[in-house]
Amino acid sequence: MKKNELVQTINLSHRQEELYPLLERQVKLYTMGDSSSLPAETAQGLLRSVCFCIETHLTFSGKRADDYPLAQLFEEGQRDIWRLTEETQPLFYEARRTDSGFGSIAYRDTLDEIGNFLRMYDLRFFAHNIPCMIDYPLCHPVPESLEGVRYIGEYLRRLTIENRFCGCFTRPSVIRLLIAHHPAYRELVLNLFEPVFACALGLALLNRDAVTLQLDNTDCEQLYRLFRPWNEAPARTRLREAATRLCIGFRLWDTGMRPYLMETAEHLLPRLKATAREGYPSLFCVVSE
Amino acid sequence: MNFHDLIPLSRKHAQLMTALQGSNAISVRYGLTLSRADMQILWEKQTDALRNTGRVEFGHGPYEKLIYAFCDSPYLAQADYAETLAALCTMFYQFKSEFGEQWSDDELIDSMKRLYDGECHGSLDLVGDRLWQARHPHPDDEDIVNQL
Repeated sequence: MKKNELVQTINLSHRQEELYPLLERQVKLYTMGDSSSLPAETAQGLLRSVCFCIETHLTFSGKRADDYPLAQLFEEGQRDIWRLTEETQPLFYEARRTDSGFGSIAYRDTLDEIGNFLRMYDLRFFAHNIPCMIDYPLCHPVPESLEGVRYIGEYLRRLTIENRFCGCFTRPSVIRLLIAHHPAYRELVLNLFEPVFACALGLALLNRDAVTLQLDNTDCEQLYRLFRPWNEAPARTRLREAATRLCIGFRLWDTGMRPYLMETAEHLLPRLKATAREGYPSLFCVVSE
Repeated sequence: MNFHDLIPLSRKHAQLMTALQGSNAISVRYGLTLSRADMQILWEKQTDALRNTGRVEFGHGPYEKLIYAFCDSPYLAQADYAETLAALCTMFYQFKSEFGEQWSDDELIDSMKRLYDGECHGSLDLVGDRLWQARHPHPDDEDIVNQL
């Protein structure tokens, strides 16, 4: 799926006649016939869930909403959500398996919460809800417009990529780098991948072995000099080439990983620009023995 | 999209009117009937009660069930029949919100009827007090909760 196809919102306001019976049916199932009325926020949640299922099916199937009855789209959407939930389980186990245990509390809590999500997710009635707290920030956050299992699935996919990249280095070298990045990184809500990637990219820019994850003051100064005077186009090319060298060096060729690393490299551009222009040394951490 | 836009209000109104007319056939045996004007007032009271309690009605509302449950009550008279039904409807939605989804519609109406005909002797205020007490019981009042 292309990035711009992650979310397809639809306008169903002209199909209210079709939507109301669907909502009514969901209300009957939800209350099991015990109650004919519901709190407004529950009814709104049920409606949002119906729309979410329809939107999900339209996004994955490429169908046009106007060509099909909403009841059919909803039913097929529920099946899509069920399938996505099934596919999220292995992603969760993969995130657990590739967790290198650098000791971030936010990371640990978030994985525990996602475990709870998989137990508590109500795909029949509130498929759009995310009944858990996601504290650990990704280098590239999942768009807020994604909901329910689609958000969690995308979050885990990105997290697994970050974990696999960090897994290319020895645990002590990563921990040494993270402590240099911030001594209290375990307690703080910080992304662990970005400093590791920045350091590895710095070493790749210097044509050094990235696996060491060590940059001293001279290396950092040399790195900043590479980008002075600042010229964006060559800087972008240089970063992309270095990211490609990293992919080759660590044998990271899969289609999920490469674009993520390229995107991360490009995201470093504004900070690199500030560093090169104003001498604000924030991008590369000095890590010595 | 907001569900308020979805609810076909005119259809709901017509359905309630039909349901209330049908209920008259039962209640007339007990000397209780609703006029067209009463029915319109009951519709408005139900709409107000829903708005005030933040609830949405997907069926006909509680009037049909209330009429079937209360029409044989010795405390109900034609003079205040519509007014009592409106008050019962308001109380019904108020306690549906108060109890969460803990009680079904039938259970709540059954408790209201037992209290109304029993220890409250037709006092709606007392019924409300008793239900509230059941929702927020004092540790010594377990017998009241068990009675409901």
